Parts: sequence; C-alpha cells; structure tokens
Amino acid sequence: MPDSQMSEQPLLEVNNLYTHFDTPRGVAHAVDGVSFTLDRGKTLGIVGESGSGKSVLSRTIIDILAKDGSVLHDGEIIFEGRDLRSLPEKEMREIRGREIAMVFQDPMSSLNPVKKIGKQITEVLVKRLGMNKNAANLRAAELIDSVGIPDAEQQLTRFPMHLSGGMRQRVAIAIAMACEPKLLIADEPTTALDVTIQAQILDFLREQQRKRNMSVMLITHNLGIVSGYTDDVAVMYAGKIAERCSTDELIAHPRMPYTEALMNSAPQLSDPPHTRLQAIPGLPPNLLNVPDGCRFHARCPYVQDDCKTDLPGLTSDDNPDHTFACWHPLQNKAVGGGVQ
Amino acid sequence: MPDSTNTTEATLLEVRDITVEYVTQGQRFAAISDVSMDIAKGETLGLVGESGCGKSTTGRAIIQLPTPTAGSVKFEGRELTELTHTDMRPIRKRLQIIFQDPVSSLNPRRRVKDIVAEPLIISGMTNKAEIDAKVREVLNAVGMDPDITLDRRPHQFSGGQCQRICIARSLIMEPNLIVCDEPVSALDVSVQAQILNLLEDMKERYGLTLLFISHDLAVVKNISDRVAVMYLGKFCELASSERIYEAPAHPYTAGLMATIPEIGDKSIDNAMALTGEIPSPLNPPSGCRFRTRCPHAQEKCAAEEPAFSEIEPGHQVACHFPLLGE
Amino acid sequence: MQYFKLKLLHLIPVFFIVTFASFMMLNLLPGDLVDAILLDEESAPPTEEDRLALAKELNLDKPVIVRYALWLGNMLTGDLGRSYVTSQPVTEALWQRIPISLELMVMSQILAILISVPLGVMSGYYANSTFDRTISTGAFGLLAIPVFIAGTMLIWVFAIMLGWLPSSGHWAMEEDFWRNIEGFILPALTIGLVEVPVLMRVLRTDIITTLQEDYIALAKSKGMTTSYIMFHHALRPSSFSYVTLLGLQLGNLITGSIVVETLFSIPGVGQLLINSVDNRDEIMVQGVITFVALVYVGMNLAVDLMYAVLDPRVARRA
Repeated sequence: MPDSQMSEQPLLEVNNLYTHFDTPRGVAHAVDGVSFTLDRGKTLGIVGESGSGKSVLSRTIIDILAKDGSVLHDGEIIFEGRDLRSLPEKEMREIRGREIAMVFQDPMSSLNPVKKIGKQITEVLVKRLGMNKNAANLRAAELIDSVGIPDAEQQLTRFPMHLSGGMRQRVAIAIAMACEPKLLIADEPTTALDVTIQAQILDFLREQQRKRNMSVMLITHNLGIVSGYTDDVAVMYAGKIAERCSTDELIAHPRMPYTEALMNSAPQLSDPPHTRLQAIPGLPPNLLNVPDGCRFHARCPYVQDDCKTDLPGLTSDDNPDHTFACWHPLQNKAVGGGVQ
Repeated sequence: MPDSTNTTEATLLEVRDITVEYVTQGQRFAAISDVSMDIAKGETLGLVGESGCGKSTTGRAIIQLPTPTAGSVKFEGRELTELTHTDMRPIRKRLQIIFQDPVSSLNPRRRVKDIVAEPLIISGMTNKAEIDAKVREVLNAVGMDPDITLDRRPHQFSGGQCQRICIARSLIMEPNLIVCDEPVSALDVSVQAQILNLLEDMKERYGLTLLFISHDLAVVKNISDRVAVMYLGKFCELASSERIYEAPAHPYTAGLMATIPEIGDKSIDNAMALTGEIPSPLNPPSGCRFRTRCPHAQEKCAAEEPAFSEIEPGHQVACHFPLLGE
Repeated sequence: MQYFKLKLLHLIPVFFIVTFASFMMLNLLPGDLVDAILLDEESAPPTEEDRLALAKELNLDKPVIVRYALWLGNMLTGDLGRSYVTSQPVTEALWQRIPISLELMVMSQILAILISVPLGVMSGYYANSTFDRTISTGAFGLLAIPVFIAGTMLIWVFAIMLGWLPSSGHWAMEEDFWRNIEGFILPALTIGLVEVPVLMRVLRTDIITTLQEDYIALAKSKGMTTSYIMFHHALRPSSFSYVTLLGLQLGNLITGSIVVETLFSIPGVGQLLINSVDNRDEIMVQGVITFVALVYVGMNLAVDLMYAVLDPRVARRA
C-alpha cells in the first residue's frame, strides 16, 4: 500500500467539516467549516480555549460522538484516501483504535476504574488484532515496559487507582500504541498533570512519534506546548480555524489578532514581576448564537466595520502556507513575549 | 512595583513552624510541616508547587480552616491558633479566601446580590440602602455592571465572571489579607489574564495583601513580590520573584522552571528536567525530601535534612548543595 | 478481609436488636398465652393447676427478660424451642420450609435481574428515545400494582386463560424437577416483577452517567463494539446503586414472599409465619423472625461484599 502515490498524499485531510449539536436551547456550532491536512510523521497542534471546538473536532475525526441524532455532521474526513464519514460503522470500527488512536485529557477518568490495567490493554489486542490471551498478555507487558513503567508484569494485575496520574497517562498511551496507529489524537494529554510530569509525557510522546513515524494531532490550550512540540499549528476560535501555518511561522509572525492576543495574555517566566498582562476583553462567543461577521470582532483591538458584518475565510498573502481568517491581518512583525 | 522600604515596614502575617497532620488509612501523616513565613502589609507572596505539596493546606491553615496541629499564626499581632470560634469570627472578615473553582463556590440558587451581600448581613448590617450601595461598589470594582448582574444567578455567568463575583464577595468586608487558592487555574488563558490584572488593581485600590497559591510558576512570578516553592509539605526555597527566576538555588526550583514550556522554546532543557514521580507524603524520603528526584543528590542528602537557611539577604533555601552559579 | 470483619461486627448488634424487639413485642400481645393454648384443646376448662404447670413448662412464670435470656441461650446452641401447638421443634419446621422459600426468593431475584438489567442498559443507552419512553411508562404502571394484584393477574393470564402454568401448589424437587420449577415461575415472577421498575430505573440513570465518562470514550476510540462497551465497560461501574437497591429490597422480598406463598399456597416460611400467628404460636413466630433476621443480615453482608467485588476502590477506602 505505501507506494509513492500514497506517500505524497497527506495522511489526513479534513474538508469543510461541520459538527453541530442539536440542544434544547438551539443548535451549537461546535465545529463550523474546518479544513486542514496532516502529513505522515508530522505533529499538528490544535490550539484554542474552551469552547473553541478543538475537542469536538478530535472526537468527530475518530467518530465517538453520540449517534442518537443530536449530533449533525457535514464535510469530509479523508484518511489515507478514504472518506471516514461515509464508511459504514463496521469499517469505521476497524479504523478506530487500529489506525487512529486517542489519548484523553484526564487519565484519572479515561481509564476504567474497575478493570485491571492488563485487561484494558489486552482487550484491544484480542478484539482488534485477534491475538490469543497469552500472546496478548506478553505484548501488554511489553507495551507497559515500553512506556517507561517499572515492573511491567505486576502492573497488569493492578487497578488504575494504584498508579499516579503520570503513570496512568503512560498506560493510556500504551493502550493507544497497542495497534501501532498511524494517527494519534492527543486531547490535552498533560493538562491534568503536574508540570514536571507534563514534560516527561510530552517528551515521551515525541519519542514515540519519531520512532514509529506516526502522525500526531496534539490538542492543547497552551501555546508554550505548541511551540515546543509541534511542526504545524491550527488556531481555533469559536468553531473555526483562525490561523494555520508552521509553528515557527506562527510564533514569529502571527497574522490573526486573536493569535497575538493569546500569546500576550499568558504570563511568561521571562517577564519581570507585575508585568501588566494584555488580557483579551470580553468572552468567547456563545456557540448557540454566533455573531455575524468575524467571530472575534467583539474582542478584537483592531476591529473595523467590515469585521462586524462579513465573515472572513482562510486566505494568505506572501506566504501561501500561512493562512489566516482576518480582513485586516497584522503585518509581518515579531510579537509575543518569549521570542528571542 | 511596590516600594521595598514600604513593604518591609509592617508585618501583617507571621507564620511560625506550622504543621498540619491528618489521619488516613489509620496512619498519621503531616500534610505540611514546620512552615514559616512573614507577609508584609501590601505584599503578594506566591506559593508554588506540584499537586500534593501542601500549598492549599498551608493557605487554609493560615485562615484556621482547620487550625494547624502545631505552630503559630499571628495576624496583625494576634495569635489566631488560640482563638475560640467566637473570637475568630470578627477576624475572619479581614481574612478572606477565594477558591479555584468559582462556579462551585457560589450557591447556584441565590442571586448575585444576595451572594455578595451575605458577609455583610452575617456581620449584622441591616441598613438595606447601605448594603445595596456596598454591593454595587464592589461589583463595579470587579468590572461587573451591577444593573445587569444583581438579579441574576451564578449559572448565567462564565467561569471568569463567577471568579469576579467571588472576588467581589471577598472584597465587601474590606479584608486585609486574601488567600487566593489557585484562583485562575480553572480559567482559559485569555480570562486568566483578566483576573490576574483585576487582582493587581484590587490590591492597589483596597490596599490588599495577597497569599497567591498556584501550580503555575509563570503566573506566580507575574503577580508576586516574593515566591515560596513547596515540595512534599515543606518550603524548599523563598526569595523575591526576580531573584528566584534569575538564580534559583534549589535544584527543584531550577527543575520546575526548566520544565515549563514557554512560547518560543523549541524544547525543554533536559539537563535540568526532573525525572521520577513525587513520593507519597505518607512516607517521605529520609533527609532531604527532594533527594529521590534530585540530579545532584549525594549521601549527605539521605542522611541529614537540610535546614531552611539564608544564602543571601532575603533568599532562603533548604539544600545542602544549593546552586550558586548565575 | 479487614473490610469484611468490620461489616460483620456492624451486623451482630442488628441481629440482637431485631430478635429482642420481636420477643418484647410478642410478649405485649393482649390475652393470655396459657389460656389460648389450653382453651384451644376443647376439653374441660383448664384447672388452675393445669395452667400453672403449663406456664412453668413454658417458662411463662418468669419475667420477660429472663425468658429472652433463656431463649437466647438455647438459640445460640441451635435450639429454638418447640411449637406450642404441634410440639414440633421450631428448627425442624423451619428446615422443612426454608429450601422452599429460598428457592422462591432466589428465583424471583434471578427473574428480576434477568428482566431489569437488559431493560435498564438498553433504556440507558437509548435514553429519551421512543423505546426508553415506552419502557418507562410501562415501568411506572407496574410500580402502581400491589403484589397480590400482580399475582392474581398473572394467575389469570398464564394459568387460567393460557393454561401454561399451574395456578398454585408445590411439588417437591426430588419428585419432579421440572414440575417444581414450573410451580415456582408465577410466584417468583410476581415478586420479581414488582421490583423490576425501580431496579431498571436506577440502572438506567447510572448507565446514562457512566456513558459520559472518558473511559467509555476511550473504549469507543479503541474500536470496541457497542454491546461490548455496554456490558464490559459500562455495566459494572453503573451497578453500584443497583446492588444497593437489591439489598434494600430484601425487606420487600420477605414481605412479598409471605403474600405470594399464601396466594399460591406454597408451604414456605411465609406460610408458616402466617399460620403460627393465627394459632398464637409465639415461639414459632419468634423462630421465624429470628431466621428472617439472619437471612436479612446475611444478605446485607453479601451486598457489602459485592461492592468490594464491583469496585476495588471500596475495599481500599474502608
């Protein structure tokens, strides 16, 4: 399968994807026309605040949202040339876990508290790869060992409560790695962890990604993490991609005012104490009732009249790989606290 | 920036060797032990550390929730640990606390005006017009329009707005000290900046003193005059925010700083990065509590507990081999 | 193990309180027991001597506390006394009937679980769908029906109209196994059905909560099938309240089986209790209550142990 034709194609191509929730209070536009591509072996960062739609986007791609009719979709998710959205459930299940795996934010709640760790790993191996029980147990111990947890064999018979948060997240990664997926979606994988453990987990994820030539979608609210661990980045705001380019380019030359504001609002260690933070005034828009025009206009310091009425699409100017959704983009200049 | 001659003038809070013990699974253990600090009037002291280090316990012990098992807490010269509940009550007004989760710390069934006015009513104020005027004043101060806010209930507000309401509620008694327990950790970055700026403004306007507790060193450095770093229930370093950033003397502080992902950093400084996990507070390591994760640990560290001592004026550290290079 | 011991220690006082209270209450019943026994025999009116002799024989001349102590002492050696009416040892009467009542209760619980678990899981998974609403409405309807009406209706439908099952009676298991089971189906269903609505609703609610958990999302993202997720990932963490409720319903189960044993003429402990009360056979009544208390305490212990099995975190917390 991996012929030259295939390898030129991006692993994942999302085209004009919509995910709307039909709620009693109206329709929530959680993901609202999102398009991007992810190449093999690359890490794409998806940055945004809560309510930006970044988590819904990841759950839409791996297709684990409710199927009771309350979730409405449109658009394409092309994974290795196949549109996942049009696959029957049985084929999609073959992809889930095996081709695309996911790591969740809180390892305290993403592991089943009443199932032994070994069972939570072996069930993937048995059900998905058709291994027998003994082989699965051996492989599970190997996986546990490979994510840096000591005494792998003993760990198999323990319950998640016996492990620390960092160790649980390693187990969650071991589960995700069990079928050697081509794409790993990591949804805020370190937000619930302490900083020193966060660094260990992120380093470990990067090492695995390089070793296996896996693609990673790293969802986070932390631009510092994006800066250190991703190749490309998409900034999301109120269900839409606001800016998309390589990570270095974004840090050096943000074009969308929201990106700039996000960078300046986070306190940086290198700033002197009592540095006034450039807070973004107001609140992100309510997804049940998105404003006309640019979704950021009510909070944008550079807002002009057309921003209030016309919705900007993703465009670019000098650099075709740097797209942004803004009528009045920032000029190519360096901003942000941490840039040398 | 506060004038350094001013801040050292009067000590508002004097904490000496407080220890808080709990019993879990039939075992007694100290959540914090021998914690001492002074906070000057108008100062912000930051308290930083990872989960389970005892930073929240310290904050609560200061406001006597619960009273520490041992040690002394002097607030405006009065010893709080010996006060009865009744004697403590008038002092509580001057000692407020705000919590991490603003939404769950507001009663969802009450209107904002009742929530904010509650401390006044408990303290015996009855004049309705006066109460109303005070509530409006503090709501205005925290940037919430009283006309829109007063009759609504907490669920109609976002997390950041709820935190503003919590701050308004704590301000209404005109406190001297506010213990801020992870006040911005549950908020988005853009909203976090609003609340941090607001706290700075309120400090100026009401002459507040803050004990600011957070796991985020960058946030703590931004808001604090001095920073204390905690590990496994003890202080390991205390210095001015600038000094602690420029020249961290404790390997833990240095490691913590090295692991924070910063915008523009291409990778984390692995030489300083901390390995391993935080040991259980039920059974802390012998000698220096950090030695199991310390890249510089030596025999002495296991045998002998380092004293918390001054290595330069205003810079204390608990380490046998403090990092001294600039 | 520590957890088990602790629970056991809690239950011992419960047992003593129940037996003591019932002893006292039976003693408070109006009328004279000696008269009741002697007059029943329809012979010549009893002489004062007869009365005294019988009272002495039955220890009725002693204060009630002493009688309780004597009874307790005998009970601990396994002797519950003899029936005042038939002179049959109470333990013997119980042993004859316990297997029958136990079979009825076990069967009713099995039926209640077999019906409520799939319904609860499905209505939790399809929450607020037409299926869920229909089931809920049916369940609430069922909730309003008392045991004896439910039993009568089942007899009418399955025994009289359809003629599939016997309407009453009991066949010994040794004689005809299938006949025995057949005879128990309707009574067990009567008791079980009454429990189903509450059990099902509780399970439904917990399933809905559990389905929001990240570990369910993780199981989905592993590519597990829906039925596997429901029964292997969601059911166990959702069954806490369900098991508690099964335990709490034991009281109802016991009262239910008394009614049902009478309704279907099954010679179980319930029927024994009713007959003994009719005959003022106090010692027999006390024996039955003791047995019921033992069962209740034992079942509660079993429920507590189930918690530890269902969620390893429980045993650790205790």
